[in-house]
Amino acid sequence: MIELKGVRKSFTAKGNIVHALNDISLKINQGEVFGIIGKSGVGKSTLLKILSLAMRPDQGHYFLLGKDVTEITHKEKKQLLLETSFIYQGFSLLYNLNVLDNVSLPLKLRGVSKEERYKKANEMLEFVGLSSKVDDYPITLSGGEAQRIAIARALITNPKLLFLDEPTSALDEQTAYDILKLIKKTHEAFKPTIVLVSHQMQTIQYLCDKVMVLKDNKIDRIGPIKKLDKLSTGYDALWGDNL
Amino acid sequence: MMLLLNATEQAQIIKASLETLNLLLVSALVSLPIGTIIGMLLALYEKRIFNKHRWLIQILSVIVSIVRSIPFVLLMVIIIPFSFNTFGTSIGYIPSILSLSLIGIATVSRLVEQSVIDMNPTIYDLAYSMGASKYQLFKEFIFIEVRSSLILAYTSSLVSLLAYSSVVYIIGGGGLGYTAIQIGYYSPVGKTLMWVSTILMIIIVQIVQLLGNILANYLNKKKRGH
Repeated sequence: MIELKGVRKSFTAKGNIVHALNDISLKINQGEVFGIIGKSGVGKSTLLKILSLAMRPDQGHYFLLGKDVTEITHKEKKQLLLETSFIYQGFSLLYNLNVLDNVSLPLKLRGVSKEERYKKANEMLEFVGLSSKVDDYPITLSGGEAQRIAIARALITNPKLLFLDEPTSALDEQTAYDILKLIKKTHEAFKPTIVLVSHQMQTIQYLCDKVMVLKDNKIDRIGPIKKLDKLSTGYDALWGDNL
Repeated sequence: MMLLLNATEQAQIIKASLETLNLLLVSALVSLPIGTIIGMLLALYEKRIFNKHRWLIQILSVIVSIVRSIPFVLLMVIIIPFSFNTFGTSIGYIPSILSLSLIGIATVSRLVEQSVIDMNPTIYDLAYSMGASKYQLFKEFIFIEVRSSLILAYTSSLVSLLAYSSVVYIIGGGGLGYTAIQIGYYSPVGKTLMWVSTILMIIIVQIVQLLGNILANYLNKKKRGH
């Protein structure tokens, strides 16, 4: 489903070249839940931007759904974007749209009729347990409810690939746990491939099959989550207090 | 209020009020759409959503700044030769509308630009991740999120246009500025006309502001209680 080969990305900041990602190679199979973890500034967000097609790598190749995205046209990229969904740390709901219109927005962009997209949105809201909130506006929602709405919106297009950027970091412990349970339920119900970025090992351990640890802007370790032992790997700092 | 005026003055004030409303309406019809488009372009280039022909937008931005920097009285005078060469008239309604529209476009552009720049930046990422086209980005995301601040920007621009319209009598544009200053202030017996004109201007501003606030409030769902 996803394959990176020797991906590098650099930025220029105040005249200096910053190597955000060095020689990243990885493979994510269909249906897997893949975690990316590391401290701040190690390139997690840059990697997620490349994986979600928001940024091009400077070097290397990125294969998504069998296509080398470093060589595709704008139109092909749009097509690939229709197969993916993104869940942000800050929920990113449109505050002037009610819950039903927020959830159904991706289908509106695809030209789906109002009746059909509202029907699907209601199904998704039922899935995330917020059927009663259809007419509410985001400002009236709690953080947990807003993230559930964001999940419903992400699922409405039945994406093959779901990107999650620190989905629980803006939430309190109990709400974060509820959201993680919902993400797990989502994976069981819809079987999307999930790429999750987090700085909390507990989040990664709860959800992921495989994990990649980024350190000094390159891969420090990659493999099944079970092999990444808390005591032997020296990643204690990544074990936060939450969850 | 009208009872304070004699029949001639009443006719003058009605005529002037209609002239002011005409100036305001026509210059708004020109400046709101054009100013909105320019303001959107300035903001979207600033946010690097658009990148092609960046130099053209930079020139546009400089022109907007220059127009806003010129005192309106001078702008009216500067525009006279253009009005004469293009429309064959150097005084009256046409140069008044031209100068009001020009300052209106510049004012609306900057206010719209600021509204869009202040928008939550993750909206752009969200639209991109959903595969939205540039048109959809504008229609389904930016417009929805900034519509209430756009209404407030328009309201503020209309109030400014009304203030500017009070001096176009200098180039023969008429309006309540003419009755307040030229007929009212400069006449030994015209002080009532001056005050009535001023009060009418205040009433128009209050109505525009009130309607703008009501509409903006209705469209803004970012406040609790909606």
